[in-house]
Amino acid sequence: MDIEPLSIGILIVALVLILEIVVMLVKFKVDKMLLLLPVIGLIFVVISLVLNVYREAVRASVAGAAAPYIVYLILAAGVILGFVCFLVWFKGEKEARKLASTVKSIDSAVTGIESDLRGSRMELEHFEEEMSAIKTKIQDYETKEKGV
Amino acid sequence: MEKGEDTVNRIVIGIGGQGSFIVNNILRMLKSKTGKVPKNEEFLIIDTDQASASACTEVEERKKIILNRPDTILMKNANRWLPDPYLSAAGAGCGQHRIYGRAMYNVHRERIFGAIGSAASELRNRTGGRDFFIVMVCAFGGGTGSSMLLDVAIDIRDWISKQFGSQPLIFGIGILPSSKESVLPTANGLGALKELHFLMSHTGDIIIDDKNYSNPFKLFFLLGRDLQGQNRDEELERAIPRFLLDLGFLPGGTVEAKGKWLDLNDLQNRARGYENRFDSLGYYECVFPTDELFLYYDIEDEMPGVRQRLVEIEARISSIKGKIDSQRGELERFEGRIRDAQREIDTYEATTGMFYHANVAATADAKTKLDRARKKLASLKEEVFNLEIRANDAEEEKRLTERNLERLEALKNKLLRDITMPSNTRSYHQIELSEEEIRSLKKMREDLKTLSFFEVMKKLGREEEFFRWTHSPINEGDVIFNPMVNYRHSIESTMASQYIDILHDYGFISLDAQGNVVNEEEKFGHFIAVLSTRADNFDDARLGGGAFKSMVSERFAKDADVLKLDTPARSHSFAIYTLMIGLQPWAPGPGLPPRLRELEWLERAYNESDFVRLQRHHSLFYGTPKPFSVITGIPYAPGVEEKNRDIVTTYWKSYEIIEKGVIWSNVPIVLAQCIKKFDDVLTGLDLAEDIKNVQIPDPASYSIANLTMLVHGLENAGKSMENVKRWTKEGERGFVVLKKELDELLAKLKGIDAGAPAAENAEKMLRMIDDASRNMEILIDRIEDLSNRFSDDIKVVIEKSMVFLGKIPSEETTSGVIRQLTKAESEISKLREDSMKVAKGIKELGGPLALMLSSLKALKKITESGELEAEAKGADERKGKMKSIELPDLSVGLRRDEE
Repeated sequence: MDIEPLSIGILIVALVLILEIVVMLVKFKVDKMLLLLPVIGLIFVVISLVLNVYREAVRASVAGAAAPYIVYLILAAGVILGFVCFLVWFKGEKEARKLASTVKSIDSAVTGIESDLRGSRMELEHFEEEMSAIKTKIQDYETKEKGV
Repeated sequence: MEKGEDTVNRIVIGIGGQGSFIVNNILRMLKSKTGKVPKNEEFLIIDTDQASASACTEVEERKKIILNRPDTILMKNANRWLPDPYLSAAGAGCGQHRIYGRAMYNVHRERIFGAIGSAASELRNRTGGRDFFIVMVCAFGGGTGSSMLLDVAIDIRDWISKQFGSQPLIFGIGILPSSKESVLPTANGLGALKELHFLMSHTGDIIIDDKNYSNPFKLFFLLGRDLQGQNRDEELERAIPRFLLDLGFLPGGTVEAKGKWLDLNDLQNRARGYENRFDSLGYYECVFPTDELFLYYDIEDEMPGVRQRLVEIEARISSIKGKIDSQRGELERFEGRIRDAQREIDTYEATTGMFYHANVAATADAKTKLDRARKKLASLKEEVFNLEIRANDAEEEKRLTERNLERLEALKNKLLRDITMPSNTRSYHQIELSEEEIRSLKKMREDLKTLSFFEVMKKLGREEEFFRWTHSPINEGDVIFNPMVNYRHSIESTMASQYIDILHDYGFISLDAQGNVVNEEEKFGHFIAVLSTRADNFDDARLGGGAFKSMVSERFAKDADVLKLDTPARSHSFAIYTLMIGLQPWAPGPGLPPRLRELEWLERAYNESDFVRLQRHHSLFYGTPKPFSVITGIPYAPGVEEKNRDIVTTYWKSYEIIEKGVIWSNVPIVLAQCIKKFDDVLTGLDLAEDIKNVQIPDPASYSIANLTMLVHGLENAGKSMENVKRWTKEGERGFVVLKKELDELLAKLKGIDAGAPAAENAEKMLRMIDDASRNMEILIDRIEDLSNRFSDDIKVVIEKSMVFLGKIPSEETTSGVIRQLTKAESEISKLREDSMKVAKGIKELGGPLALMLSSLKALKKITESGELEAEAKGADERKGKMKSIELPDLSVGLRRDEE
């Protein structure tokens, strides 16, 4: 049986949608609600495939010229749904990245302050030691003075 | 001192507060020199005051024998003789009551004994040596040391002798109260001194109830707390440890001296024969201020760097504080940001639905990070707070350091003052340097360490000054007058010059080429000067040691020695230690001050106490009447504790610190006083005799000039009469005192076994007595004669004057003449009145004189019997010699001598 090029195209689209669903489900672990969009899109693509295969029968029930448009329309709806799903995912990811980067910048800034403070603390400790050494030295001088 | 293994065990015992403090000082000095206590030395303290003992931080706790006050019942049970008021003591320790100290010793005797005994046994085990050298230090004014010293010394001497079979060598150091102390400690001083002298006077063994009451001390050094009215506590505290450590009596291997010099054996030999007399120490030191200089230079170099560093630190602290402020703001800002981020994450997470996507893993990670940042922020806020406090503390510390730096600056200035204007005393002289010299010496700082004192002074062009402060005290003999007690070497200054003339006339004293008094009787035993410095600081030619020795042995001591001690460590100091052995603290004669001036104020305070209060100043023999009775020969009543205690007190009250034999040397002085007094009386009688020689003009030749001359004559006679009246009163009083002294002397010569005077002295004394008696007889006759005719002589003068005045022509009686007449009449009436009194006064002089005559006769008798005794002794000696002549081997030698 010869397969019509359009059906092949629809099949490819269906396969793409299936791939999208699988990837989103397995790889991106998206919410199931969001998967409804490609699933519905896939259903539309399947419907358009069926309509394309059985276009003769469909032609009989609808006006002859409108039948291909119906196939195309349903296919386009499926594709759009798949695309919308992608867009929604992309937007969500973009926001997540933005949030992550904000948090990261906060974290690194705080870490920077922490290291700055550590530096200041160490410097103060050093001064204290130094001044304590001066004090001890002065006391030593005083003790020596008493001894002489 | 020769180096080698020293197995002599040394124990230093401080008793009471001051004694313990000095032992603590010795220990501190020893530790600072060597870092440890040598194995053959033990340091113990005995005290009744916990606080005072605790202050002795250098002494090991187990070496502190702290005696707690027992309750009154235990005290009474152990001391039945103790009066009720003394069952407890006020204040700390023994409350300065010696009687209480005695009672405390009785209660704690076993403990004291145990502690000292175990220290001695430990030493014996450590070193293997059985010879012991013990130094005991205490103050005589307190209650603990002065009351326990003698008992501890006796007990420890007996114990060591029995345990180890060799008698320990014991040195005592006693510190006498100063003239500024209150009555209680001052009188304690005399109480302790009397008891010590009593014990020291008994050199032979007196064993009673298994206790030997003979003198336990080989040498006993008396030191005063003030010299010439100035407090010397600081010098004492420095001198005692230095004396013991520097001279190697407590060596610990610290004295790096070369050559043989004064060691314990030498000292024992030199003390031989003077064990029954007191000793003293002298200390003088001249130093170049090297240590002060180096310290000054160090501080001077150090200060600018420290100051600069502090400025830097201040800048840094201020910058850190600014940073902390800004970081606090940052943290607050970040706190807001974290809140915002959290809100965003929450919003991001909270939104759900088909058209929303949230990266859960990413948000979880962000949340974790955010949490971490939040926690970090919280801890950082705390850190900032702490850091701010720390920065403030650092700032405060910096301010403190600045103040310390100011202190260092003050110290530097003080050092500069000390170097340029040292406060020198009689016993310590520091070379003063100018600021220019200080600067110039800084350039040769390194050389200064190796150069000797002399070389440094030479570099400064001040070598003459070096010799003046180091060699001259010996060369010119000043060091003899530098003991650490107020001791008069010669009676010369304390005695009227006429006494000296009389004593010289009779041959009791002689004068040296410079006119100084030389009196064999008052010389002390042995004078040793130890000069301690690095060898190259000595210049024998400048020292004049030989001349010094002969000067001292001619005038002050029976024997003298100057020892040079090469002490490499003393490159910039020149110390002179003096030891005076065999002092005679008593007065050279009745009515004269004691040689040991401390006795003056000790006696004054002691005599202020009545009999009941006198008990608190004594300790020895309370509760032990039997040995007291055996030694003194005074009977006691067994079991009657109070009576026995009073007998002991009575004995101490009348006890005098004087050697029996020395009483004979008082005789010439009393006789010289008698002869001097007779001369004075004769002068007075001449003055009385002279009153009648008033020039009365011839009544026939009246003139204003003659009247004026008569009035002047009468006025002079009146003045002379006043003088004679006063003189007769003083004369009588003087004779009464002299009679008392003479009687006391007689009583002493009769009452105690004073032995016999030296034969040549007895002869001189008899000559003096004869002269004095003859003078006295003449004097009595003259007094009798003058007193009988004095009134008549004056009556004649008055009558002649009246005749002259009666013959004044009436036309001459001008107002001036009337004034002169009134004066003359008033003088005549005064003369008439006083002449009776003076005659009576002159007559009364005869009374004590007659009594003195009988005392002189009694003295002559005693002296003659003493002379006979001395002659008999001399004859015995001669007989002995004759016998020895019979011996063939010696006769040869004698014949050789005769040849």
